Amino acid sequence: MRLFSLTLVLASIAAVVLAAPPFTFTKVDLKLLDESKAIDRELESRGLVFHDAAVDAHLTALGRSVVPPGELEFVEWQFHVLRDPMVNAFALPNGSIYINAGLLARAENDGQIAGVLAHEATHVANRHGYLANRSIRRKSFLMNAASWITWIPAGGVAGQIISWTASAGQVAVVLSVYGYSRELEQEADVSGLDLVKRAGRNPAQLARMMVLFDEKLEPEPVPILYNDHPRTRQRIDYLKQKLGIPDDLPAAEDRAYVLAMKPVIAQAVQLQIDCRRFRSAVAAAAKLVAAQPNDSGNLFLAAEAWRSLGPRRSRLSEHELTNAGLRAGYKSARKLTEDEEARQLAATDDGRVALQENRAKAEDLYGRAAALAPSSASPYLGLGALYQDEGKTADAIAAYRKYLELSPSGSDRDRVERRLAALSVGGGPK
Amino acid sequence: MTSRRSFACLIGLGLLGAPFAYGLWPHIQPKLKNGQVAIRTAIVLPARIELVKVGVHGAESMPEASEKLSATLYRLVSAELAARGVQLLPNPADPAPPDAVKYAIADLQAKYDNVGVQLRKNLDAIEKGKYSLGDRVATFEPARKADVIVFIRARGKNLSKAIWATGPLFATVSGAFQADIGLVDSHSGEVLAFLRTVLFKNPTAKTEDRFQPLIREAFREVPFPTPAAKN
Repeated sequence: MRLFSLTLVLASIAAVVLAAPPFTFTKVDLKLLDESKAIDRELESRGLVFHDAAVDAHLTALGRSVVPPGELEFVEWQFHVLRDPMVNAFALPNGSIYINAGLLARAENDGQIAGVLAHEATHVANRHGYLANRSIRRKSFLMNAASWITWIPAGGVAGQIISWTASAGQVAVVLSVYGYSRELEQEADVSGLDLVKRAGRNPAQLARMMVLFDEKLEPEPVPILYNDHPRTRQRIDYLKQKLGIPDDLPAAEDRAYVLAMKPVIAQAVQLQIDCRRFRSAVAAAAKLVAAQPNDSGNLFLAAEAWRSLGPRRSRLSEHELTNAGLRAGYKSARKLTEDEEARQLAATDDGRVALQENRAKAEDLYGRAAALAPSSASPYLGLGALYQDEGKTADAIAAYRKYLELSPSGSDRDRVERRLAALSVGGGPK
Repeated sequence: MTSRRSFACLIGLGLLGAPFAYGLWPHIQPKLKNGQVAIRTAIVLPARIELVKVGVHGAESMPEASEKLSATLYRLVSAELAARGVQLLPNPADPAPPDAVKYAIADLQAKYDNVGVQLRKNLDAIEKGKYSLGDRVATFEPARKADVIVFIRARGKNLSKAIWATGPLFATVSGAFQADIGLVDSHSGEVLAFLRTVLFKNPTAKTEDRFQPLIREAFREVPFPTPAAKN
């Protein structure tokens, strides 16, 4: 009897010791919490948070359905769209979850977004940000030195958030954007599956989303979350194993999702063009066109994407997809200006062919956009630029004049007039 | 080549030890130098400052200090431009603008940073007119009446005493605060001038006193309506 009592007491003590202790906030954690709030304010004030009432409501509803139940100290769940073209998402320790426009444009349905949100919510609920921060601070001085000796070559070609966090210097924040340790990511994946199931959604869509993350449309050997090739592949494999799925899931494009996210996808196309992620822009615009083939705005965006693609193929070649190819492509994008890179590619046989084909596609799309909305000026601006690039001066002038006729006080008036002036003195540069 | 030269200069300055603040490397496009383009009106975009506190426990961002420094550099650059006879348009981000303007500012800043990746690798090419943000800058409504858009970037590390203890020379060089100012044609998008200053002191202390002469020096060779004051 005494032995039984002793066993019971020991078992109770063990249960208390082994059970996950409640997270106790230290001074360092509270400082990180304050910084998270400051980051929220900073992203907002820098114009990096996208606002659209319908999209925000949609994302919030999705997010609320997959966050862990119950109250969490110092966590206020918020779901935001970031105006960033990279395929990424991250969560701050205070419960702010950010999904990039690039990711929303890559996803196929709500289930995949719910999976991403559940994954990020697990990082928050399990306090991964704080744990990573504590771990970093415990590491030796020499280890930390790397974080400040290195002058991180931040740059827009990698997207605004990457650029910003790379220079922000706060290692815990950088981790939250680039991805935590393998163990913490696995924990978030597995718990994420449970949260998605609890919300009544198909957890297999998280595995499908991982496949989409792993799809390389651009040369970008930046080890960001989800895009670190071997790790992402491993994660897909263990998710499939856990779900009992033998093969990768097929595409599950949902038109309703694309229509709900249309403003973000349209935004992503423009951001991708601006950041020289032309293939991603073509793919995102194609989704819009597939969902609404007779929408003039969608056709115009697709035309812009194909024109910007210039002498590139819409998919990376097998050689470009190798590690060496990806590195070379990324290096080239960092070293050469957009014009220099385009000129260099156009000088190759394949580049010349691609340029011709892409221009033909763009011209066709501009034409269809103009036919569907005869009073819309934008297609003529695009056509003017296309013809000017092709050296068809008379056609370019006609298209620009048509633009001015349809939009005499448009925001592009100034540059169109300058282009016309340049063309009239001998087809000068845009 | 240029970045290697810049780095060598930085090391050289650190080795000299004595100087603690410099206005360096003005790169001016010939169009601006020879008067083909004149700067009479400018709009200054909010400065982007990344200040990091570095101690033995790693790096920590300094959002409040960065924000304060951003405001100070914005003010000092604007004051110097005004002193040189340039008419300034209002800060497009103050008061907080509607989303569309906020996005336009963000996109413009991102475009500048995109081009900045190549530009910083070959600063000499600015003088050949190689870099442009593209003529879409002309659609930025707040800059419609401006000749140039001014971009301010700066980054630096505030080192703790423990880091300084690792060696003043090393700490001086790695703790340098670098500020870049870019002048971009608000119609064509061409980068007209790129100016750089380096401060080897804590940028958060005596900020105005330390930066004012640096900024004045940085702008010295840029042709503005009013010539630079003599030293």
